[in-house]
Amino acid sequence: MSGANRLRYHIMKDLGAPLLMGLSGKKKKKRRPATGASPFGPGLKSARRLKEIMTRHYFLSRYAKGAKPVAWVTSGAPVELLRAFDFYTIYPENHGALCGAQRLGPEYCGIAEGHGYHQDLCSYARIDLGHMLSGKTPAGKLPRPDLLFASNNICQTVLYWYRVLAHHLNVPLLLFDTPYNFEEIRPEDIRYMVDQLNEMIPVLERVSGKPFREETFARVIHLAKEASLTWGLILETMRHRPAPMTIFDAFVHLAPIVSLRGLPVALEYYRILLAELQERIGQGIGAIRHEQKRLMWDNIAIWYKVRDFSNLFAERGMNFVTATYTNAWAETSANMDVEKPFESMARTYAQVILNNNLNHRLALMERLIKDYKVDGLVIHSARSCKPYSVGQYDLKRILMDRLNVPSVVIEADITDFRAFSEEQTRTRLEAFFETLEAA
Amino acid sequence: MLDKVTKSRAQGIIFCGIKFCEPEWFDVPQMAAAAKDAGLKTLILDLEVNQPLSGQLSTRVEAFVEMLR
Repeated sequence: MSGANRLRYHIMKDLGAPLLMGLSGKKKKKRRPATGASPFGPGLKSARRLKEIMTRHYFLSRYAKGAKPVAWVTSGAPVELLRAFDFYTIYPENHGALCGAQRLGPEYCGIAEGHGYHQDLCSYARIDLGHMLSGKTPAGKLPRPDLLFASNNICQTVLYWYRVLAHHLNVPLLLFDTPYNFEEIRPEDIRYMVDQLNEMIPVLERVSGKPFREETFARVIHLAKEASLTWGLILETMRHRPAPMTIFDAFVHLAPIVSLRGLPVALEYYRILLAELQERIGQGIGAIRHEQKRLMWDNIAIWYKVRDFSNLFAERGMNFVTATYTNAWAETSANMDVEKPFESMARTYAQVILNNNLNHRLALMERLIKDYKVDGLVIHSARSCKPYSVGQYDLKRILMDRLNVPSVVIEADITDFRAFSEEQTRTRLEAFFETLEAA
Repeated sequence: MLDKVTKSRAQGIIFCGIKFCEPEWFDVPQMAAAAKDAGLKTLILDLEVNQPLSGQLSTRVEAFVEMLR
C-alpha cells in the first residue's frame, strides 16, 4: 500500500466523490410525479441517497487499488473479519446483478463462454469471469483483488468459481467451509468453523499488512448486526397493509446490506430508510395505490425484469410484500455477538437459508406467508442458482396443501435473459392472475 | 491428467462434461488449455447422464479420431 495511493484514495473520497455526486445531482432529470393513472404511490425519497452511496462506492473502487487491501467476496462470506483489516471489498454477485439489471448479462457471459466456460454455469460466475478476462464493467473500473474470500454457505459453485479466479489472478483464496445443516447446527461444526476463522488471521495480516485488533473486529460486528437488524425492521414494515414499499424496491435497497455490511454508511442509510417507511405507514401511503393482493417472491431477482414485473403486478393491484431472498440478510443476524465474535460469525453464516434443509425453508415460508398475509407466491426457478431452485415444485405443492396459497413457477435466469421466455412466462402468469383474482 | 498422458502415450484427450455439472465445467477450460500446451489434441463433449451419443456427437468423435491418425 503506497502513501501516494492512500492519499489519492482519501482525496477522491473526501473531495472527488462529493463533487461527482453534486454534478450528477444537478444534471439529474426531474422525476415525473405520480399521476392519477400510475398504479404506484409516491416513490421513496431515500432512493436518491441509496444511489449516491452505491455510485460513490463504485467510483471509489477506481482508486482503491494500492491504497487499501482489496478483496473480492461472496455474498454470504463473513466479511466482518475482513473489515477489521480495512479491506476494500468488491462483491462480484452484486456487480453481476448490476450488469443483469442493465441487460448486459448475455454480453458478459458470452465473453466467458468464448473462453470455454459453459453456458450451464452460474451466470453471476460467467459475468464475473467475463469481466475478469476483458476488464469490461458498467461501473467504470473494478480493482483487481489482493485476496479472494468465499463461503460455500450459499452454494458450492462459489468454490469452483473462486478457484478459477485464484488461478487467473494468482492471489490467495480463503474459503470458509460451512457444513450443511441436515438438522440443527452441531457444536462440532461450530468448532470446525471457529478454527477456520482463527487460521485466516495470519493470512489477512500478511495480505493487509495490518495487525488483528479485537476491538476493531467487535466494532465491525456491532455495526453489521445493527444494520442487519435494521434491515429486518425495514422488511417488517411491509407487514403493514398497504405495504409502504414493494419487494422490488427491497431488491434495490438490498445493496448496502450485501456489499457494505459492517461499515457505518450501511447502518446510517437503513436508519434513514426505516424512518421514511414508518412515516409512510403513519400517513397511510402504500407502494402501490390500490393494494388488493399480497404476494411472496422466492429465489433471487430476475434482474433484467424487475421493472417490467413491478409494473405488471402493480397494474393489477398486486404487491410483493416479502421474499425469501431479501430476508436472507436479516434472518440470522441476531446471532452476532461482540462477546463471542468467532462463534457468532459461525452461527450467523452457517444458518443462512441455503445452508439449511428444505424443511427449514418450508417452515420459513409458512411463517412469512402468515406474518405478511400473503395471498399468492411467485417462484423463480433460476437456471443459475441450483441450490435455491431445487425442491421448489415440492414447496409449491406443500404450501398449496397446507395453507391453500396458490403459486406459479417462472423458469428464468438471474441475469442471462437468453434463458427467459417472454411468451411462456406471460401464459403462466395470466393463469396465475386468474386463479388469484377468482380467490 | 498429464501424468496419465505421459504414461499411456496418449495423443489426445476427450473431455466428457455432464450437463449442469459445475465441478467439471469450471475446470474444463484450464484443463483443455494445459492439454493443448502439452501438444495434445482435445475434444470437449457436452453429455447428459444415461443418454447415448447423439448422431451429431458421434460425428464429432469420428472427426476427432481422424485428426489423430
